[in-house]
Amino acid sequence: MPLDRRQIQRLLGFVADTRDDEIACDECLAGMAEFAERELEGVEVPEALRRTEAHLAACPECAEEYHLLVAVLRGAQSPAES
Amino acid sequence: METRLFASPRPNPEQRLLCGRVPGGERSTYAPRPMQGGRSNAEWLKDLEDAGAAQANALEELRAYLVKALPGALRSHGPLGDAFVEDVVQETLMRALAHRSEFEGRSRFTTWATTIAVRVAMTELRRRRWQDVSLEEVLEGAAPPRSLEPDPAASPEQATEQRAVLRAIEGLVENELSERQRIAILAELAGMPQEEIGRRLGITRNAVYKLGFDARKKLKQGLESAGIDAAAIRSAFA
Repeated sequence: MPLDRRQIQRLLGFVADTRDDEIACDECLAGMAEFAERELEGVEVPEALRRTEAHLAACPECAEEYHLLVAVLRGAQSPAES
Repeated sequence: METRLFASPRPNPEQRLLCGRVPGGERSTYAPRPMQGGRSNAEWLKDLEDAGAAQANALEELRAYLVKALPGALRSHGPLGDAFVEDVVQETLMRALAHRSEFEGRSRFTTWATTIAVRVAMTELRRRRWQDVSLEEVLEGAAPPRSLEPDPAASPEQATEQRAVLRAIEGLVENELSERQRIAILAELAGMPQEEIGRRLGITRNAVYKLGFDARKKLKQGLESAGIDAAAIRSAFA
C-alpha cells in the first residue's frame, strides 16, 4: 500500500519547512528545560533557543516529551498536587 | 539504593546527554529561580559531588520530587503502575548523577532532571508500544507514492501544480535517497518513532533524525532544481 495523500502532504510540509540550521533531538533536549521554564513563566525566548523551538515544532517525539515535561512542571507547581 | 533497570539496552556511555549545553553558543540572561523552599542549583551540585550522606540526601530528595511529580503527568499514557514510575526515577537518578557535569544552570536542577525522566519514560513507552512490530511490516505499508493524483477538489490550475510536485517528489524519493534515508523517511511517515527505527537499524535516535534531515534536504534541493521551491509546495497544497 503506497503512502496516502495525507502522508505525502506531511512529507511535503516537512520538506518545505527544512532549514539548514536544524538541530537534532539531543541538542533539543539540551535546551528543553530552560525553554519550558521560560514558557511557563512567560519569559521571552532568546535567539539561542529558537532552534529548540523549531525542532519542537518539527519533531513529534521531542514535542511529546516537551508536553510531558510541561505537564510535570505544572503538576509540581499545582497546590492540588502538593 | 536498589538499582532497577529496564530490559531495553543501556544508553551508550559515550553518548552525552547534552542536557545543559544549548547549541548556538549564546549565553542567555535567564536566571532560574529555585523552587520555593527547595535547594539552589549550586546546592544540588555540591551535594551530588559529595560521596557521603549529602549525596544520599540529595538523591532521596530528587527521587521524592520525581515520584510525586511524574504520575499525574503520565496518567494520559494509561495505567502504568508504581513500578514503572519507580523504574523511570531510578534510571533518571543514575543518569542525572553520571551527567551532572553537563548541567549548566540554565534552568532549575529539578527541571533538568525532569527532562531526563520524560525521555526515559517516553523511550520505554515507545519500546513497549512497538516491540512486536517489525520495520518490514511498517515499510510494507509505506511504499513510495505511485501515480498519486491531485486532490479532486483542487482547481485545474492547482491540480496542475499538485501533479508536478507529486511527480517530482515521487521520482526524488525513489531515485535520489539512499536506502537508509528512504527507510527513515518512510517509516517515520508511517508513524514509527525515530527511536524505534533506530533500534531496528542499530543506530541512535539522533542518527535517525540526521538521516531524515539529510533526506529532506536532498528532496528540497531536488524540488528546487525542478523549479519547485517551498512557497510553490505550500501554494500547491494550500
